Amino acid sequence: MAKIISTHSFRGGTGKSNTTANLATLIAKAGYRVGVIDTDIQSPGIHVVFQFDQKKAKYSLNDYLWGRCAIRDAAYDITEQCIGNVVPGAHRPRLFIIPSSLNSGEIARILREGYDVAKLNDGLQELISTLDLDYLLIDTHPGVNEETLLSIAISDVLVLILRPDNQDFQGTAVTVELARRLDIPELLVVVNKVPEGVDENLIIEQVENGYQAEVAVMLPLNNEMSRLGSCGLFTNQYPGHPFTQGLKSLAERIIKSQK
Amino acid sequence: MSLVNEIAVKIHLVDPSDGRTLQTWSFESPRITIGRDPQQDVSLSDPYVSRTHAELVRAGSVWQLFSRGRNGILVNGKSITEIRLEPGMSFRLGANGPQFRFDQAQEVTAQATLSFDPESIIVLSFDREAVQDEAENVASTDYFQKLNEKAKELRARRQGRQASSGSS
Repeated sequence: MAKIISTHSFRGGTGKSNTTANLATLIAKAGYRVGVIDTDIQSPGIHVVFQFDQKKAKYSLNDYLWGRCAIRDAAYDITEQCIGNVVPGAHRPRLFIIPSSLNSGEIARILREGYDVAKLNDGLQELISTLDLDYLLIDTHPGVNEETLLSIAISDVLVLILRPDNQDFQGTAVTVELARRLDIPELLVVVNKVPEGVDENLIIEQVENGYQAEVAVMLPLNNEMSRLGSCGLFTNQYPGHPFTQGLKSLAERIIKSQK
Repeated sequence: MSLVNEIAVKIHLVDPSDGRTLQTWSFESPRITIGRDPQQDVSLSDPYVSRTHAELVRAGSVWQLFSRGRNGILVNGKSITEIRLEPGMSFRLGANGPQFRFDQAQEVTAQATLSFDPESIIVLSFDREAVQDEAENVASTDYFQKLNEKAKELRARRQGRQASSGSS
């Protein structure tokens, strides 16, 4: 049974796209077919983490939303560059990206005209069936708007990413409340960019008491990630790093909850 | 033995003109609210005080004060949205509202410093009332209500479609 996993954060800069890209790769590496769709149409960025060259992409999510192509045509297989060592032609694992357009005209059009969220929903369902996905990860735009609410509403798992910061804490609380009202089956809280030396148990206690939801993982603030500058998959370059280990435990948790 | 449970604080309502204590409240809970609403821990029927005006939150031995009302909080004449409280620190609810002094038992503070490094503590808190209001604003829109009705149907339809394609 395919699962839709939305990753969301209330504010920008939480590390959402990095977390989503690396999480998707780790799940795929465990032997699954995974799609990642960038619905952050206003400020697309996850393709950078995957080092996916947009120039090679004939179509993007925008083209599908404007009716210029089928959603399948905007999906690109990035298994080789992100996972490697896959038996040629193997059905699993597979990793696909559905990028958003970087064209400023396209972005402006979305901002000006919006788009049909029902069409986005149809596209997500179609992706799952035509690509035979086990997991579809949706990288959402920060904040709460119609598109993010749709992504959240149809999710089986909602991954909420925040920093140990009061603005994040307050804003995310609204999303938690909305997710509850939408009866999202599983809510996983990820506290990212946790500074070294802080009392982690206290942060967990405060977040769990505040949201009445479990903190699935705490990920450390790290210099290596800053140096990488989103150019590449952190978990591939630093397999032994605590950040990678933390994300692995999150990936295992998501895989296990499916069974 | 938990140190956290031993940390009691006092909040004194003081006369702004001479600092004289008018009333004192003692608390051991990790969260204290001040406002006009009778349900607040410290409730004052003062027109300058918002329904929920201030929130004090403890993490370990550290107390943090958050402004929750529209009239703000002043510390040393400066408006703040949040501040780490030290024993003896005064704060005022708005420019013309009541003034308080925060107090923490000295011996407990001494114990606490042996066990806690205040720099290691991040105090997290949010305004529950504001969160509920904001969520209600979104949830009461037509879009959200239709989405809510449709979301379960969409999930069920997807699962049904996958189940049938899996069995074919």
